Amino acid sequence: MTLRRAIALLLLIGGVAMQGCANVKPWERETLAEPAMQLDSNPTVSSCDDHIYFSREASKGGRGFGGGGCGCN
Amino acid sequence: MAVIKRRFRRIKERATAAAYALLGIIPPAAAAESKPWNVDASFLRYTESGRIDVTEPSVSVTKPFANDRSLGVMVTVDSISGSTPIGTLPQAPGAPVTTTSPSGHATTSNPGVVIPMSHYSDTRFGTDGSWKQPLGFGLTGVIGGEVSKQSDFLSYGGNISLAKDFNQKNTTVMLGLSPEFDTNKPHGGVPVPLSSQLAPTAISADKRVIGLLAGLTQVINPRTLMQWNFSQTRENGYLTDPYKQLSIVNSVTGAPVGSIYERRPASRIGNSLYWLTKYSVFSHDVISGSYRFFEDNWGIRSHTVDLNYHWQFNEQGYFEPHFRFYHQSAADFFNIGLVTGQPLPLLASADYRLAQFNGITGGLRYGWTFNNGSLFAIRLEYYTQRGNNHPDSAVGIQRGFNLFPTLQATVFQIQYNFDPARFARDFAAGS
Repeated sequence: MTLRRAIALLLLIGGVAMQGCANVKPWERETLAEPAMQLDSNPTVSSCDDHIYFSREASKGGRGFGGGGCGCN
Repeated sequence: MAVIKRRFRRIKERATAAAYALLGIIPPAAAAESKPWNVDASFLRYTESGRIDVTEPSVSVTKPFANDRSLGVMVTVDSISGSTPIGTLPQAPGAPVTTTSPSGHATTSNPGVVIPMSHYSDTRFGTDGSWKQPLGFGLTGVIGGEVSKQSDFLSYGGNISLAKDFNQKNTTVMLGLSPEFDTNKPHGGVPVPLSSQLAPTAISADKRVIGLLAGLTQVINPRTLMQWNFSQTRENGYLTDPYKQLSIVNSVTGAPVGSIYERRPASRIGNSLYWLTKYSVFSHDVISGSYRFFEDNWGIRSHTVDLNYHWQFNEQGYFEPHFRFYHQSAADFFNIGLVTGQPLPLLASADYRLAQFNGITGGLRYGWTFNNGSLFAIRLEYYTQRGNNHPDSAVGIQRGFNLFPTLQATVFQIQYNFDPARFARDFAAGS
């Protein structure tokens, strides 16, 4: 799979998902406001995992910036 | 006149408070006062079987201010020690070993060939800070910086991002930029690439990195959230690992006759696409699933699938089983070793992290929220990396060796998250 195909696939998924979008009102956000529903529900764990995988695998980026700041890779 | 002004201000304040109360909204200033400080203390231990051990304590503090502004500071220390593969090939087959158990029963086994390792020990100090500031018109800016230092590496980085909310905060678009400047100061100097020469050419070598990030977050319905990110990382400068080498082996027997230092390109552009979905099920459980596609101009392509289930089994406790699958293809210049009689390539590395392999992670996290609002969590994860044990390019005796020993690692982490002001109040009340 090339990057173009991946972009096309994700655009397709995004387009389909957007079709089902509801305009969620502020008073309907109780569930969305829960800690486990946050995009990064545990930044400390994410940061540790990113560091581990960045130093043991050749990929970077995705969830956030792809920098390293470490001599481990 | 002054009295009239003060009265008018009091009436205005009361009217504003009444309006907020009517709308059921907490006034911004009061909201900031009620928002607590947050301290997140963590202790992590990463242990590879027979290789590297890392102990990493870290503390991260977030201080909220009025009008949704906040300051975040994180400090971490990594103590790293153990052995890591150099990249060279085994010298000779392992001799069979006979062991005798306490019962007198003898077993003979071939322990296999040990991949050459070098011992490594270092300490890394890292700190970062960020400031979040709403800018009006649904815009939020974040500016941050980070410094990381170890005995042979120094890194300075910054980041700036802007997020804009649309559609009653159901859609958020984010753009970010992150420059980074790294200096590599290898012990013994920077080696001559593709040479066995130990005399260094320089004391240090620099690397510049620019990260770009564009993201879209969309609320799909009251229970579903999705995020799409595109990020690009551009690296220029010294991207070679100064400690990694390649073997040169006899083209017939496969016996190593020497080794040279590796050489990677002086630039790299990596692109990644990331898709995250969060879906709330039952009352408070959450399924998170993400997929990442990555490719770079070194020929590496990877796929990462990450699944997590947040099981809130009662008001205070939860379990989180976690599974991750990763696959990457090899870099174009990855080579397990070179053979005699052939011209040297322009680029070559035998670093196993540039080989084709699969990585699998499985783990479990347990969290508990105490009555005072503080949160304790513990997690244990197991990570394995499996590659091609017997690559086709192996010659002679190397064909019989396991050239990609499985990497097995455990991650153990304890985390305690609390509001220091409340902690101090409770402590004073208790004493």
